[in-house]
Amino acid sequence: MATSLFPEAGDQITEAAWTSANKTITNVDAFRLSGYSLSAGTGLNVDIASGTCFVNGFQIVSDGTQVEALSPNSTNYVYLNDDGTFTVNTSGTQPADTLFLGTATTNASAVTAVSHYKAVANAANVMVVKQADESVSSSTTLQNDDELVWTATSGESWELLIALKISTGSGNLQFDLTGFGSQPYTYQEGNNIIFADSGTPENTSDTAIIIRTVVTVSTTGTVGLEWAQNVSDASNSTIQAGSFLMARRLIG
Amino acid sequence: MATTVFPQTDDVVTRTAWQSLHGTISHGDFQDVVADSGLTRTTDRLLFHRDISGSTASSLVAIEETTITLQAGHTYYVNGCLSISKPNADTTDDRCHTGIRVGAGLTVHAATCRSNAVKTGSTAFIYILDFAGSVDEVINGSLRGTNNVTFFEEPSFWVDMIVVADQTADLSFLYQKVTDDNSTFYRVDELTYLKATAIKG
Repeated sequence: MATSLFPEAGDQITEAAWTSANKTITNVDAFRLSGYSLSAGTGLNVDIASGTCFVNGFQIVSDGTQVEALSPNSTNYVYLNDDGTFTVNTSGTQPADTLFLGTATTNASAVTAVSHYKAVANAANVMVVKQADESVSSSTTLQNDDELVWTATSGESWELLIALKISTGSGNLQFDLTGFGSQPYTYQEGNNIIFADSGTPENTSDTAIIIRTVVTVSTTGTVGLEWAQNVSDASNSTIQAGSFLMARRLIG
Repeated sequence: MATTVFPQTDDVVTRTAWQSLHGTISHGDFQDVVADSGLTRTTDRLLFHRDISGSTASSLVAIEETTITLQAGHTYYVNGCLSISKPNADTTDDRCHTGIRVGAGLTVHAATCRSNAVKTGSTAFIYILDFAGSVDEVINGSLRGTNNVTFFEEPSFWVDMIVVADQTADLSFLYQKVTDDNSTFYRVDELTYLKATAIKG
């Protein structure tokens, strides 16, 4: 971003000068926020309400409702571009330099639902709500959770909260944190706060676990929760939808 | 918001033209502080409320305290603690429910830990919950403590939540006497706080 106030009194600028001064405006992860709300418009349109949105600490005010066309029979993803316009796609792939605003689900002729939920996984914040039950049976081999993981780099320190809704049969469930070497962490099970070590799986038959810790990544790549049955059994051990992960990068 | 890309090819823009097009872009109000009972702070990214002396639940009327207003389009990480006092006890005390009031348009994913300091009749201490507004979600089902013994500043529960706001709505703590047979009353106290940080990408 330009480091001086732009333009100043008497300035005249061309497109070239503007581009030069401002081409480094980006949506830094640590400050990316979106605040525009979506609602069903007329027919196959979504209305983006007037209001405020925050990009890099700047407050951007939209004076009026914006109307964007949608694809039928789809989940449409709506993004705010860095020039103030909007992009809608059905792929869910976020274009560069955009903020995700929400989704609009359509049938053949109208919007049937809107939502502002989307998992966040960037360099500063990770926020995932598990969308579907995940089950393991007849296996004690630890596997990464399908959703409660993210990508991090060795040396980064993260504050971590993982809340697990669990159902098991006689196989129970063993869980561990992957990517953090043998660092200690804490979790709550029932009325107990337990100290554990990454790399040494913990066993539980409880229905709820809350993991809280600050840990440093030891291996670049996928980090987060891994789990399996504690004892191989034909009945499912399940981590249920609604479980969630919050992680905030502190340093590194 | 400007509705066109600015400037376009060969545009020459004066300060006046710039301001006309972009007068609605401003810095956020990170320094704004709005005070009322207790500490209530609102910034662009952080909402914070702390109760210092809430209303008294002495009848069956539900008391809503520590209210924060979440803005449509944001997703928040919310955490806090509801702390309760029983300033007036009776031979047989009425019990009290504590929980969270969720406004319409909010979807909540919560991990909560109940205190065992004053609760009775419970066999579990933590819960992972999902609920959507508008609801009153009872977390501590039957808070009472010891009959005829007052208590002060007892945390009822701690909570961590991911809250998706599809509409602008309030999120608050809630407490309510279950019965009104005795002179027992309950009150939120100064250990209570609720903090929301907006997170989205």
